[in-house]
Amino acid sequence: MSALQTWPDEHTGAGQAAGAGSPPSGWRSRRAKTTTARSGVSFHEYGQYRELFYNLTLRELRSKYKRSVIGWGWSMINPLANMAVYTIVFSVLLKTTPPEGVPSGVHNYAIMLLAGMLPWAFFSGSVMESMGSLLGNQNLIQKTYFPRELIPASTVASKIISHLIEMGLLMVAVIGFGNWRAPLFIPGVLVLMAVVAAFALGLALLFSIGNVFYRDIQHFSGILFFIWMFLTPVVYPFYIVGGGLNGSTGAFSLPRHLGGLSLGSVFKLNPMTDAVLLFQQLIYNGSLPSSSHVQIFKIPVAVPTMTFRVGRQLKTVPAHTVVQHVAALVQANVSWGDFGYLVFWAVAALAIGLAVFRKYEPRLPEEL
Amino acid sequence: MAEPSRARSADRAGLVGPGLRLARLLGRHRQVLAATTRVELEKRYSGSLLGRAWIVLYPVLWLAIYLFVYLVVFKVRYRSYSTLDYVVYIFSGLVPYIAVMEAVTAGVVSVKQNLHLVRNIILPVEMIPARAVGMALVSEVVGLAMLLALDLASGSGSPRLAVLPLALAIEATYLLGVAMFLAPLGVLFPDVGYFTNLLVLFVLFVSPIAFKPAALPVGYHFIVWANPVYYLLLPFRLATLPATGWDWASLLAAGAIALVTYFVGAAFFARAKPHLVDYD
Repeated sequence: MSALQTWPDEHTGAGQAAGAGSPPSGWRSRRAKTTTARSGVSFHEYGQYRELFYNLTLRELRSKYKRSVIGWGWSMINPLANMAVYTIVFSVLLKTTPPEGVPSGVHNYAIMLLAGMLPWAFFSGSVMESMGSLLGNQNLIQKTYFPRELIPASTVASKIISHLIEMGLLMVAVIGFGNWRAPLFIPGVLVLMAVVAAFALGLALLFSIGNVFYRDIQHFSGILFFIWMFLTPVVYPFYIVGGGLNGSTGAFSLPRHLGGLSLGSVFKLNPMTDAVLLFQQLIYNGSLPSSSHVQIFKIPVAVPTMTFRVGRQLKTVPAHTVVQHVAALVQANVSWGDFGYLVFWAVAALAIGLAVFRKYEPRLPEEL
Repeated sequence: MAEPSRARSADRAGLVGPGLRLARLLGRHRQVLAATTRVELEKRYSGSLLGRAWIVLYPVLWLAIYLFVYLVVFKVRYRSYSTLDYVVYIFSGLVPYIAVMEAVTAGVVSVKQNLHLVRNIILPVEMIPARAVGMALVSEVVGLAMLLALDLASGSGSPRLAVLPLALAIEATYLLGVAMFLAPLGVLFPDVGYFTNLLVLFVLFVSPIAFKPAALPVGYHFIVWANPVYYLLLPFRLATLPATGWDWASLLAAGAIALVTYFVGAAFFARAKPHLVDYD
């Protein structure tokens, strides 16, 4: 680790918790002021570890596909192969009909799947891979001092890089499938990716430190994330459970309304459902989230005349004299409120994850 | 007895010989095999929050996903089955398949992760993939006990349940062959692990675990016929669902597939073994 070698290798450990080494020179005075018994750094001091963070991320990226014949290709082949599996099973064999994208007109299961699956794979992959990261970097943690948050954070950062590439390719594919609006939504997609990344980082911090104390968290995270994926409308369209766009009712025949809550609303309690729906809204439908659950689109008038009710009278007038377009009401799957809900979860997860991580971090070197 | 058999090339020749030798080897070391399997399982569950409860929880969680996807999302119903019968149908496919998944994913990396043991002269290398299969089978036995309870509770329990141990033995033979085949590949080609993970997921979905083979669209039936897992599940269904007619053919087919896989796997391992020693 080049970043580590530039630091003085002194182990004074003055005023620090057990096992923590020494921060770089010129550091101790500031640390002493900001933190006393805890070994966490204050937030503005994270900046000092930029280079280490960069190197950890780079190492993560390099080591991932080390000694593999296809190497980096796996980061592209993996989502494509997963796409093939789910498309064969859910589209061809189980005959799942994707919704038609409004207003994009895209009507393709694989695109719908990718719009939700790529963010999902990024999210679950980030959390699952960071779980073992502290155990995997045992030597580094026991020998030197640095904010250990950087280890799970660098794993998440390395996933962000490959996720960006995947999403870029998806954007190209979506344009190919007829959603020419897609480039307009790139800023939105980036904001959404940042929110999901924050959510993933929060859980990564929480579970990576949790895994040190309870090792089964990592071992059984596979099945738990698999369940979570199927509770999130990734491989099947949301309308099957929640109604909405392209399906006025959900397919669930048991009480769809549990005390005023529809099954769709229950699903949306899962923040990843909101995230996936938002990605699908931007990429697949080519539209911003609606301000309510009903979305208004202007569509060309098909009839030359329109009938109005004025008082008790019905009046028929040529359409073009009134409006060129009428508003079509389409029930949208996702609103700005859902986006707010997702942001709330992301912020909460990050705050809780960071707080828990910093609380238990001093015990790391001995626990490992 | 267990030195790398580079010199004794006779050990590696033939298709049946290595399989028979492997069976004798595992028989001779069965106590060590049982002990190491137990230690590995202890290791897996030690220091964990829920501990051994996972061994019960794991198949239950899988069943929950399946029930959710097939009953809630896709609303699959079979007229000949009540809902409870359908749950038995799913579970009798799921429990054996979980063992397949576990044995394949653990088997492919088993030798790779224990390369330091390859040169071990006290115990033969064959024990490593065998242990991976052993661990999968222990979990499967627990799952089968739950299946048995579910089967009796649903009222479809019958004397046919006596077939269950035979079904397990057939699957164990098959998995041993698969693990013996994959373990050397996992050492020689690092990409095999990625590939098997995907394959296992794919086969999970295309195996008739929750759907009946007849439910496939016309022209896609080969997906079932070409899938060895389909035949391995048949004896489990035979044992737990008396509504399906008795049929010797399915038992024979499963047994034949298992034996062929076992002998091919053992022969492949015997041929690859000297290369594993070099690889370290």
